[in-house]
Amino acid sequence: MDLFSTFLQFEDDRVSRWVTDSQLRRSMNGVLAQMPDAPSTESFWATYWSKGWHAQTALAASHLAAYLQETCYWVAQKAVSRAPSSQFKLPDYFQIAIAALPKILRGFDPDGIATLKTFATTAFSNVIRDALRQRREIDVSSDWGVLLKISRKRLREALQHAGFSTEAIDRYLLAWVCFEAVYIQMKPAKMRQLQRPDPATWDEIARLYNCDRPDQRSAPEADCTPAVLEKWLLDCVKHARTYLYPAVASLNAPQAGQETGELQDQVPDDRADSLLAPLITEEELAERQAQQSQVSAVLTNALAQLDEQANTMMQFYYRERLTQQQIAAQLGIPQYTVSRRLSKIREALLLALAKWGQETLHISTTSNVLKHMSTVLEEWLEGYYRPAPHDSAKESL
Amino acid sequence: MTLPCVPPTQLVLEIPAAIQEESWQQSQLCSTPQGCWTAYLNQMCLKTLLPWLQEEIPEAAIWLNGGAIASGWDVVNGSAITIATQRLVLIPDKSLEADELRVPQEWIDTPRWAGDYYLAVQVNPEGDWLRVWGYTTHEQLKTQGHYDADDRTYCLNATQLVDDLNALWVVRQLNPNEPTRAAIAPLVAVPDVQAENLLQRLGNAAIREPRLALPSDLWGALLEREDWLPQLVRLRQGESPAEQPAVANVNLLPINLSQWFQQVFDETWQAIEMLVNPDSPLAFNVRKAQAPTETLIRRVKQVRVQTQTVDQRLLLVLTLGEETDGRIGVQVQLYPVDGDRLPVTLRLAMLSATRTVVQSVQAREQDEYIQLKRFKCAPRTRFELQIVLSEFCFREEFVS
Repeated sequence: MDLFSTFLQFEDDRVSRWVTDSQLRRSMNGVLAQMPDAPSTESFWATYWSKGWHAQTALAASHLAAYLQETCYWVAQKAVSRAPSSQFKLPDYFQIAIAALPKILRGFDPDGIATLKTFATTAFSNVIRDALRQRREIDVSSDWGVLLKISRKRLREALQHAGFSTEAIDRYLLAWVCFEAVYIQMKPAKMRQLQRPDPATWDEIARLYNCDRPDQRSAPEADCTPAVLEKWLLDCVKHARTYLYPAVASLNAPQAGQETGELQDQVPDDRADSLLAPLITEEELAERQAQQSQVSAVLTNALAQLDEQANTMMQFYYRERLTQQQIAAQLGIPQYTVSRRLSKIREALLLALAKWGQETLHISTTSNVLKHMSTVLEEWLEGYYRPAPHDSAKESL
Repeated sequence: MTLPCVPPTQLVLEIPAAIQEESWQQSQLCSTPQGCWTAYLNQMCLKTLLPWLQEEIPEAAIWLNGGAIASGWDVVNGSAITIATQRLVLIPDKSLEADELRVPQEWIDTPRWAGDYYLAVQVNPEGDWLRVWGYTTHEQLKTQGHYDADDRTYCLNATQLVDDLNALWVVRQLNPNEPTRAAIAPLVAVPDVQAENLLQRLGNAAIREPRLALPSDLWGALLEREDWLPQLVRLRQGESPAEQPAVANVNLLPINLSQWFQQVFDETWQAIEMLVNPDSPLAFNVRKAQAPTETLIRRVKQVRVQTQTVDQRLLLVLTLGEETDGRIGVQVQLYPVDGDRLPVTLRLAMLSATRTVVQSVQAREQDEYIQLKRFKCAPRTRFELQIVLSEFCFREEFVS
């Protein structure tokens, strides 16, 4: 009950308490009253609301957001312990991850083999990792590298975010297009770090800009100098950097906690009936649990067949959390080889899992089935090499 | 260099410096800056990923169609690799966001171009690494992607991709006939005269994006003609459309040796002083083997050999001499840069234009260098040099 109607509240970088959303609580009460025989297990309701979400049932998204608060908390917690960062605190990671919830729900298949929690755990960590990756890429890039890596869409957003007028944004974007066009022509071979364009290149950028600028006819005297263009481009870099560092304050926390007090309060809506039809039964739930222990057996068995070096690599990667480059250094082999071997090991494990799925569940092995199996595998490996703490967020409060 | 941190399911590969340089050089022919970027990224992507894929699937090959793939980059992003009857389409992108896969319509709606699987590849424009962050099928792009009419691309959200490339290898083992394709509307064939007219019209390089200049079904129908796109690109690059493409290979251009006598060198081949300290034992050894005279030209290239057990830099040395009969005499030598011995069983080979081995030599224990027997080539003869050590293979094409 609480699981599907409470939200975490943060104060000063840590969780302060759980807050009950009265609208969600009423909604849960309503559904429970309609279905007195429904099992009280977490996985039943997770599946119920995921199916509801796909059927666009009112409040389903909010219930799932509430349900996944704890999952998201642990993922954020793990991210903090894995990569302590001065700029990112626990609530920042939490918000970055939870903001991606709609996309994650869209990617989740409630009838698939992965549970919502498993799926969300992997998806949340990927979201955080991706944010960190982008950030690091931006950090290590020279100004010119940032200009080459940013997409038009993101640069426009960054400039809008910085409050420029439409005309100014168009000027900046044109300058950026000209820069990019000329830059490839000057790229000398063997250049490891991208350099500031030389004067001849700046002249060429300016020439291109002045040919293409929209007010060329009406104001021929207003030609832009290379110096002005350089300033604009560096402005672009500055705003892009600010914008691409996830602007945590502007990320919206889920809106679910807001009371509207209107129609939506009359939950459950009439869709609840249609949801009952594909409802999972208790037997199905039991079957799922049996499946999970089978998955574990299949994978433990597959791991046991790895040779010693493969085992070492898996230990390094999953337990010690070394990067591929660090493993390469440890074992004295190229990164390329580490990447290939790890990939081969995961392929063998995924293959074992897929074969088991074909034989026992009689599901045909398609890319999308494997996508979910890969999630299950990843979650299992994480758990196998790094058992999660047993106390939950709720108990720790 | 630091590789980006990615989920364990994704593939990250370093791009060797030699590939960066070759790719950049080979991209310079394009008719627009956009085309140059596309060619540069696609070259790096193919040259790094194809050998990797071939280790997994030896029959993987570049989809060529008369050099169309290399020249096609002038106008369309993406490359295709064929594996038996299936096609993988690689879509490189240099932006760091990777929040959606954007596939040009050509790769979806043109029957000859359409693929089975589409791989999303982020290539660092600084050139030192790439990552494959997911894949999807033609069917999924067509049914779940949204079509962006502005630049005629099918876009699929990152969460909808399969973010584990291993899933693809497992599907190939357990379900090789996985349905991957959605139906495509047939295209009406374009009459020859119209095709010729449009060729002339779009051959003008001032038209920056020829793919957007025509209605999409007309453009698609033109691409269905096997020779049309290569002709268009040759026109746009200022050549006569009748010429055959220079090379139908990843190496778009072979290294032109006759130009070396006019002091025109490819940037990947350098004077020995640029790479090696003239006072070092290595420089001494190279000089000792054959002192360059006025008529001899020597250029070197560094090659990094990486296998499971070896990671060593080598120096490939080419010494050219003009023969009295107009042929070019070629001396090929291979020295270790790191250490003073070559890896045992390392093989240096010379192949003819038809890829048959003409001569080869293998390093034995204690070999300080190896060399091929000096050979002579008539003008405009093609040959290839290969350096092979277990799974490692370096190759470069030359024309005399």
